[in-house]
Amino acid sequence: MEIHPKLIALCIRHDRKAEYELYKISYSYLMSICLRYAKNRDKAAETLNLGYMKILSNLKSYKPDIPFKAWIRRIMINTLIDEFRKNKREHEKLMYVENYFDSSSYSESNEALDKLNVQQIYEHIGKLPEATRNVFNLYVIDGFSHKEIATMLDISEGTSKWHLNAARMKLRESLVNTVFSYVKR
Amino acid sequence: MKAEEEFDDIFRKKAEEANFDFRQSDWEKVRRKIDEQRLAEYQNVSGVNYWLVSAIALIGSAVLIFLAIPENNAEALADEVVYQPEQQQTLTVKSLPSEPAALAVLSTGVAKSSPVSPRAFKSISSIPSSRLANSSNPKTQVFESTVVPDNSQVSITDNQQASQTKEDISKSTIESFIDPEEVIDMVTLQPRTARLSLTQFEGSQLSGNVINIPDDPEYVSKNSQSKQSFNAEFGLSLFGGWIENSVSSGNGLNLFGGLNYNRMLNDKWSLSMGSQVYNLKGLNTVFYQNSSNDFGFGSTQTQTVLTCHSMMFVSFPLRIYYHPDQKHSLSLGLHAGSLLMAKNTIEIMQLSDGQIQQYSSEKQNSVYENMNSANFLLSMGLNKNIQERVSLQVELFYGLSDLFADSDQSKLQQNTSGIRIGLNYRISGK
Repeated sequence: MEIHPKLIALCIRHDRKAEYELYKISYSYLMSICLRYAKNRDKAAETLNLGYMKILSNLKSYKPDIPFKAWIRRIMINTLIDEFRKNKREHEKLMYVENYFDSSSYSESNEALDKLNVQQIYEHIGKLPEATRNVFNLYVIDGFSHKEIATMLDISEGTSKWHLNAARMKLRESLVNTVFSYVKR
Repeated sequence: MKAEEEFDDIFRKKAEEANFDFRQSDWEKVRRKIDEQRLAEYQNVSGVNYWLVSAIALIGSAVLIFLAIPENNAEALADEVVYQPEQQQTLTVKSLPSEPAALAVLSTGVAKSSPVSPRAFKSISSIPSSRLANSSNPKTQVFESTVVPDNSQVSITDNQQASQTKEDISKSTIESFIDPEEVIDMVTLQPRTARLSLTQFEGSQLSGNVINIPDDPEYVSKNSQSKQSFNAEFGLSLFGGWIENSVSSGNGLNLFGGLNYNRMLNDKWSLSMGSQVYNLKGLNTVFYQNSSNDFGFGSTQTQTVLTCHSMMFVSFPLRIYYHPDQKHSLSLGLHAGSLLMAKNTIEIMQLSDGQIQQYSSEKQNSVYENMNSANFLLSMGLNKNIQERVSLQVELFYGLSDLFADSDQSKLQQNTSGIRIGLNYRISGK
């Protein structure tokens, strides 16, 4: 994703065509982030638009020495986390389970995962409970540490770890089921 | 690599491969939100600053009042000064509110001096008459042509609030200067005439009548111009306006009012500063217009139009005056103004295939970003005194600022140029 500095300058001056152009260029990338966190595409688009507005209003503070892609990714993730915090429901907070899967069973699910396309993978991630999904996305795909996640989501590091394990467990289960049911058919 | 990490890695790679088609409908949604957000941002862009400016203006005015009022009113309080040498040989001062003021009146009425502080007055009274006559001190020069007797009997009467000390000082002072043998039966000094010297009394044919001493141009020149004064101004402004898309805007009569502090730099020049409020009505200026399209089955267009109808400014005029004579003065000024409030209409129309489906209109008093909050004016004026405290002022002014930011719809320079006619009232001076 290449963004010309002139395009950014025009967006700062509220040039509508430039804003449209920037939206179009960054749309796919931002949607790929939003869809991982949102339950469906409509909800993802809603959050994407919210994040894009934040991007526009913060463009003045953007420094060219930071890659634009990384900068908008951070804004988008912050927007998603903010939204999550706003909508956080108490009953979703914690549901500890004790059983952890041992790593030997991963080979089966990894095979299944390789066979799936992006759309299917997103669907599986979307099926996770919201808090679990967020921890999984933040840790596995967006590269945050448990400490950072704990701060972002206002949970303990232990809870973050638990959500990550729970996410892996549920994803493996659903991936294997999907692939096997597909093979059976 | 552990299987667990491999699992994560596959997810990461798959997520990076993701590619999603652009949806125009998503853009339309965000575009509308951006418009709404900007509309909200335009509103009250610097509301806090306006309050701050107003507060500064108010405090500034209060300080000016404080500076201008004390120690003055030599003329205001000299309601009546009566000299009755044959009956009582008494100088009567009525309506004296305070000791310094009383002394100032005495010094003014008897000895032709501008307001004199008690200390100055005491010092005058302690100077022997022979020295007074030759003094080069401005406050004592006035006695040069005055006959100063040794056995005057003058007292202050009709001043219930005057203290004993004041009476003592006054007696001791006045006694030194009044000649009981003067032919003057009674002299009533009116506020303005109270400034005339005894020399002029002597030149008059005074015998047993109450007289009003006529204005003396020389006197007026030296004394009626207060070194500092505090003035109120108010009147009507006639703006020229402008024509845009065959519609005239911004022309018509408006009101203005303000307070000014004036300081004489020398006999001919003075400097004035203050605060002023003025309005600008009769506007019909579209300063923001936006239309957006939604394409579905047919097309839907949403139009947002903001129209300004009137504006109110607070300004801080800085004027320099030239006084060719006592009755007239010419001024040149710079008025730095700030937009305080604007009355606008917000119209939102929804058109489907060119037909209006929905229309809403709302009136709002607020300042938007497309309005220039600063308004600088240059002024050139003529003042003519029509009464002692009141002068008529005519001022031509030219607006340096464009009231509305240039937009796609308009790049016209909309400024406030025109003429003002008003009255200037001197509240106080010293």
